[in-house]
Amino acid sequence: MNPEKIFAHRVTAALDQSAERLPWRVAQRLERARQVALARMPAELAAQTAGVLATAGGPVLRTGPGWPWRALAAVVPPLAVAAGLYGIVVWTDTRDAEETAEVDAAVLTDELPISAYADQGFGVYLNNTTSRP
Amino acid sequence: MASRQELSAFLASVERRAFKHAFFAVRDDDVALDVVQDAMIRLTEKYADKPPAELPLIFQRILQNLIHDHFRRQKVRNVWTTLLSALRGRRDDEGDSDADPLESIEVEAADAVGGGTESAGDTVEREQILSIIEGEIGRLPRRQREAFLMRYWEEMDVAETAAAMGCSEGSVKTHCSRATHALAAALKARGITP
Repeated sequence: MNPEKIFAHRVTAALDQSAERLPWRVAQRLERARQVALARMPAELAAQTAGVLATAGGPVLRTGPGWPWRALAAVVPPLAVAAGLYGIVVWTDTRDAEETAEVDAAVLTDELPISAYADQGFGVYLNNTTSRP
Repeated sequence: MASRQELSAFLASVERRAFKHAFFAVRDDDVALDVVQDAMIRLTEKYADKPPAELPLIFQRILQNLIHDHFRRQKVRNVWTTLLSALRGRRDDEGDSDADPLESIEVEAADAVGGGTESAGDTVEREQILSIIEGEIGRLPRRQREAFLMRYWEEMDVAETAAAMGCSEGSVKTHCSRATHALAAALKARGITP
């Protein structure tokens, strides 16, 4: 690299530093200017490029002909899966609760006092009696 | 065709440098911001259908044209101001063109002092050096400055710079060479070797 280019690159490196340290007010106005400019992009071009992106990115929402059905097609399957999972969880909880209630009811209505189930000797007695032919 | 996202990313990547370009030329924050905004709007309104690779050159052309338009309008305004002043029997000063460049350097240095890990003294010194470099770039003749910034800061090749400036490639090389030597001499005179 010749000395002229080396010098130029050093100067532009200084300019880069300076450009990165713009006053906040200027940086904000530049950002706003960008937003204003993008809002002025011709509608048909914005729609076209949005369509291209949507196609490239997979089944995401986009506007255009027949978009409500496409939107529904994109939204309904995940909703159905979520509803199904929720149903399974509710059904499992209910079933567990019913089983527990049945056991509790059987224990409470049994002639044997509940404290007997906590007694180790009673457990040994049960094992011995059930293992005999 | 550039998508909205590509256009947005492109503008975000060039907006700060574009502001500096405009500021070096017009020497006023608000005017420079207006020029950059107009350039962005013109790009999105008229050239959004161009491929992303063509956007840098188009944007530079638009920016340079808008800066030149600004000076043309200012020239016309100055003519009317001078005429009206003559009719009123008194002459006003020429305006910003006679402003002391050292004053703007001092203002910039004071404005740009920021936080960081380095000491306050180092920060001030660095900011002052940056300000001096910017001041000297701002003092370059317009065509030399344009060629230098496009060629080396925007990293455009000679042909692209020539296209954006509307001149021959030989002129671009001459402008760049003169700008580099003038800048080196000016900075050396102020004790700076970037």
